[in-house]
Amino acid sequence: MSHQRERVLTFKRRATPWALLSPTIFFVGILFVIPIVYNVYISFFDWSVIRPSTFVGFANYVDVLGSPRFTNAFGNTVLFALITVPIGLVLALALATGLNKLMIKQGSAIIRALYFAPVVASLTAVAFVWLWIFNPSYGLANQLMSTLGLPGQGWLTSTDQVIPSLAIMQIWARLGFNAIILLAGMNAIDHSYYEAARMDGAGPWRMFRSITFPLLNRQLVLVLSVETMTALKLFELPFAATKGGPVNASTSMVMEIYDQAFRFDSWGVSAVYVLVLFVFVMVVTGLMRKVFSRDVTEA
Amino acid sequence: MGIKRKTGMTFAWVAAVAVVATGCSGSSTATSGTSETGSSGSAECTGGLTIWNPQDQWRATSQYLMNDFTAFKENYPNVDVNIVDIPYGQYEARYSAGFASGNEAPDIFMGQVAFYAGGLGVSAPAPENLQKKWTENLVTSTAPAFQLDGTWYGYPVSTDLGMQLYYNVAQFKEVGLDPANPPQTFEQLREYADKLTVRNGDQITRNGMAIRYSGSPVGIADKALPYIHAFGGTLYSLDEKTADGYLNGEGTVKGLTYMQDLVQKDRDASLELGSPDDTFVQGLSSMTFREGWFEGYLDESAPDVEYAVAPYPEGPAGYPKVSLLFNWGWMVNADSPCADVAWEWLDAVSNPETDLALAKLEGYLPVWTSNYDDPFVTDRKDYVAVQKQLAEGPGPFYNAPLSNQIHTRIGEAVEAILQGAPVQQTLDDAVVEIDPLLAEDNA
Repeated sequence: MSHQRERVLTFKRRATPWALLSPTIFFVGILFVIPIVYNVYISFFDWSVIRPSTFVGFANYVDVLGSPRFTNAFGNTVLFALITVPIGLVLALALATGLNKLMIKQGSAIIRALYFAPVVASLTAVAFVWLWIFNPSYGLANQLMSTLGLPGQGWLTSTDQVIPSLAIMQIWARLGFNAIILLAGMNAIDHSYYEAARMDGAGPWRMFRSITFPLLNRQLVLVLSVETMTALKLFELPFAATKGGPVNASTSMVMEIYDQAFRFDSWGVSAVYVLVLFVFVMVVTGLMRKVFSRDVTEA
Repeated sequence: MGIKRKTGMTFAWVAAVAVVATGCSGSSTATSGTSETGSSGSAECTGGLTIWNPQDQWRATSQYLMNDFTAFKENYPNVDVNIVDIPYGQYEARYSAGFASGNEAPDIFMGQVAFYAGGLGVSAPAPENLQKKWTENLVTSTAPAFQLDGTWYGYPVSTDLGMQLYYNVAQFKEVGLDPANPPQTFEQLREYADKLTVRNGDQITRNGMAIRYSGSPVGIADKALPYIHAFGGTLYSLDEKTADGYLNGEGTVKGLTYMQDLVQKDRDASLELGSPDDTFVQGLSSMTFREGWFEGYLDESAPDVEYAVAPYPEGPAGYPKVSLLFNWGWMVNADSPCADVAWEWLDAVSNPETDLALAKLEGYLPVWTSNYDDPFVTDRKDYVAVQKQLAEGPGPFYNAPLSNQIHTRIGEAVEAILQGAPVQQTLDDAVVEIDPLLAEDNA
């Protein structure tokens, strides 16, 4: 009896975690495993959602990887990430540091809320607001430039400036969220380290370099990874603000995925774009975590 | 190691269960409208009609057709008509998802005949009675946009008779131009644009002539048609076999060079001020080409703008006749189990009274020729332009099945040209990409 009871208890002990995890694993299967496997499958077809599809082997891969559309979209996406991620991270770190040091307790919650506000706005709304700001003729940005004695810029209408302009929009929209994560990490650092460092004569910059920055490693890597993935999945901002123009200068990989699938009914080609982007994002974020993660403990 | 293996096995089992579960659920192919023999008929169509309207500016049409249009309800009291407004920005994705799913597709939808009927084949040709009715009664200038090889596939929503010249009367007077004498030729258009443009140093602060330079490439290509046709160019051959010698032919090159010169040489059209629609409403553009619906839009959105409408100017190749890349028509889903009832609905809608009511509601031109004697049309500001368009008849129509891809590529080329790319080279490069698409259409 007791042996049987023990077996039941052991089974329950082992099964309970899986029972709790199974809904999540089930949805991961539905929302990730199946789509990605299906995506690989259709990438070998001239696939239409309505007309009969034809097996074409690797033809879609050859067409995509050798096409100027792919090179353009890939280049735009990478450039956007290269601008957005480091600048966004540095600004978020600076903001978090400032908020952490804020001596005024009253109103600090309001200040934090103001910085966080853009995060809750949809990116489409963000895009329309910045479209107005960046209008070369009557937008706020050029009016400010004029006030400072600087020439007006093309911003979203310039092939050279459209990606940096979109980067500004993205950084502005994400700044609060990233700062909150870093601020939470800063708040978790034991203050006794700073006190000890102060007694040893360390200045603010030395304390930041030797205490804050290393102990914030996990949060920094998290923000870096998330921002990189978000940047590489660029879609809403150019879709709403520029439709990929001017002259495809802001067409991203995800926009190409959308166009190939929904505008051109070329789902096989779209599937190749999906796979390339997926592999690229996995490789980049994996490398980032490997390179930047440090096993830093407070012990 | 054992734990890792068990973890992996468990994960694999759960994923496999997920795959099987979704495979077993599947979507049904039959709706309540399909009988055991597989044929559809009004007797089985008890679920009602679902109609998709993707036009953000024609939402009043949905309300009218659902609530005020009673002719169909009298004959089919048990059939509910539900018109779903689809946001324009998402319509392509929604349509793809709907038609791919089968039973989530609409019974009737508004779309472009060339793509949905010719390219995807999701739209059915109209039955004989409607073929006859529409041929005898609808405006002929735009009929080719709703037909494939002479067969009607869609009932036109409005007769957007190509574009007309809208101009700001107050700004004409401001620079000493006579509003009663709008430009008659493309050369005059250029002169007028130069007089009307306002510049602040290098920056254009008011377009003499607003042109479409950004946004959807198909839209850019569509707005370039008057210029191309005025100089004798076309996008591709009318048998849809090749663009070589057409898109990169002399007439098209001249038409697009004219557009490029407006921007780059004459500096009468800005690539920074904003869309022609918005800038005309804001008084930041003195002239623009737009379709007939724009009159209704201006009357509602910009009642303070004093404007007039004139026919296209004539180009070296004559008057650029009616031609559209966007041809919004009501079509019936070929796989709808309620297809017969859907055609009955379209038959009920196809009458001059409903046509006029909708035209008045939305401010666009009606599609029945008998309505062109109504004061609603004769009193419009664009009536002179409309008469010219009707008299001149249709121009080239571009109904290649892979129209989305082809017209997107053309629009991208036009956009590049407006930004200063060499005209001939850009068009030659576009032809290299377009001809295989045309060949695929013809295969």
